[in-house]
Amino acid sequence: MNNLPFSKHPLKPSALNPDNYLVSLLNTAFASQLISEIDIQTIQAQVMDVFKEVLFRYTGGLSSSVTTATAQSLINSILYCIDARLLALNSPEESLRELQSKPVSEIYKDGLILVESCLEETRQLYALTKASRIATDLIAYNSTIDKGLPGFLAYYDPRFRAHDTMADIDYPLASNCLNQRGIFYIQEYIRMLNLENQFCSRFAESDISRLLQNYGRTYHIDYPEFLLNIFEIVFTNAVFAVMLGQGACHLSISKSDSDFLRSQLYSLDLSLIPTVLKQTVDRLIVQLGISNSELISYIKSAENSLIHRVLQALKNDSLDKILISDFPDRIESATLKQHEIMKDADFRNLVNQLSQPVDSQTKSALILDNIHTLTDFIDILEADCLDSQDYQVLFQHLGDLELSMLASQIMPDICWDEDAPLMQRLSSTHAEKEWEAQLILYLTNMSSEKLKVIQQLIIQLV
Amino acid sequence: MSDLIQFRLSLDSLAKQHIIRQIMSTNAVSGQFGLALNEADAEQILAARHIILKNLGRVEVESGVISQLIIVFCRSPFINQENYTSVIIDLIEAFYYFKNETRDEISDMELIELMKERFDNYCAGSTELLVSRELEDVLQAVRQEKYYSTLCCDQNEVSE
Repeated sequence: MNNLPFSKHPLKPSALNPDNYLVSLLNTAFASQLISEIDIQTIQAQVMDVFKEVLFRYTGGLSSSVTTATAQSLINSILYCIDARLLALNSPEESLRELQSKPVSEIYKDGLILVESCLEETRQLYALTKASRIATDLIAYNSTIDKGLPGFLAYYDPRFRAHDTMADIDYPLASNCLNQRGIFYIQEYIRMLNLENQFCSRFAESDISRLLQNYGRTYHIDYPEFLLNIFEIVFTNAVFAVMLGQGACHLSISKSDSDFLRSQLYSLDLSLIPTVLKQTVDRLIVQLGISNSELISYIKSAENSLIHRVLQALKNDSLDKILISDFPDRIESATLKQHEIMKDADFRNLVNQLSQPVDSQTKSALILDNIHTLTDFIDILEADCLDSQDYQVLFQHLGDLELSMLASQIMPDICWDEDAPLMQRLSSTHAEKEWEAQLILYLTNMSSEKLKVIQQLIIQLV
Repeated sequence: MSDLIQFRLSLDSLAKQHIIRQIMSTNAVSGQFGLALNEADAEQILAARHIILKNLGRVEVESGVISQLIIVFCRSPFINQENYTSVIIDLIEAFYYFKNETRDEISDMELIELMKERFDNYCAGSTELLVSRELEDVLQAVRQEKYYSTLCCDQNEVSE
């Protein structure tokens, strides 16, 4: 084959498609008159010779034909290996020289060796990544590590399906993988997942778990079911924590600190935000003692995404959706959960007593002495043994927590936040049962301060 | 020229003359049974295979099964010089059809020998019967994973 002067016609790597490298290289080289049509036909014929060999191995020599789909898959696998070898060279010019000086069968074999060694390296990297995994309930994260990745590595076939990326990998990474196919994609995915694990390992597992719970509550989602990236959520809060002057390992940001930070950021000119964030990320890297250049580079790519998201949030007044602040711990209603539901006979006996002509105070005392679960309490309210006065007296004996639990039962679908007062919600709530109407009546007669307290409790309960 | 480098699988990229020579080399065997193909016959078979493969969505390299089919079937008492080329073409079509239908679970030689045995013993040389009746039985057996037991029984019956 002819060797043509490259210096006059440099091949620009940006013009070449790494996912279809050989074809794009030959097309570009032909357009630049760096390779002749005859040379291209020779290369094409040599690829077909490799195909014959691979086909023979694939069928075990028992069949000389395959379906078009199988043949196309084998060809794609061959081209993937050839591309692996050519992309490992320093420049497109060198790749072209390789094609012009070596038989395609040799280039294919070299590529196959690269793919096989990449598979082995990836298996080792996977073992490291699995060992550094984050303890989390996130289903996509766990299934990707426990099933998707090992399944792919067990069945990946460099000789016949090198280009294949069929794997159940649901967990989204903070950055996109550059390689789009085959084992090189999986290797890059695992490399990035490993970096994300390394970063997150600098924080207490309980802090990460709590942060994810707060994230779920912020977005009103059952977070384990969602396709979230743990690194991104942890990184974001870590940056804001450093901005607040907290220790680098802290992820927890109180409501008051969050409000303070929001007011500070809103007061800044938007043009200053990128600089402030970059300086904070640099401080975070130093404070966490990160020296791994690969991880630093990964954090820097996440920094760009964070700047973009923060700027958007400041424009849309939605910073509270990025900066995840603490929710007070869920209130465990001990008195209502530690007891078992009443036996049917006991319940019937209580209803009989309440149906007797006794005053409201006595009825309240009977109920409070015998009922210990929310389920039983609501059942007794619906047992048709109380009149309107009984309800009002009974509610007087309940504490704020019990009242908030009952209120959350009659308005279950409401998205609770502090923007809309409880009074406003009560007035628009339709009562279907007698006790619900009585409760709404009782609550609407309470002071606004008292209602505020109950509303806060409801937010913590939901 | 972007279409120049498309690694499509087609017979065009293969050495046509080389395949024709391969097909005609079977005359050394078929000649013993009074059968021979000239170059035009070989080209006709090759062109027919091209269309059959395309229609059935298959790919084959070099002469593939053509030579094997000829070597086995030239011994059949139901093939003569007059129907030789057309029967070979029909057999090629039947062969690829059943490769597809059996999802490549039968090797080339197994299928060819099975076809030959049915063609001679049950179909009196009719490729129509071979496809519509005899090989449908085989297909059914393969689908039910009973192919090998069926084959064993048939071989026993033949030997008896």
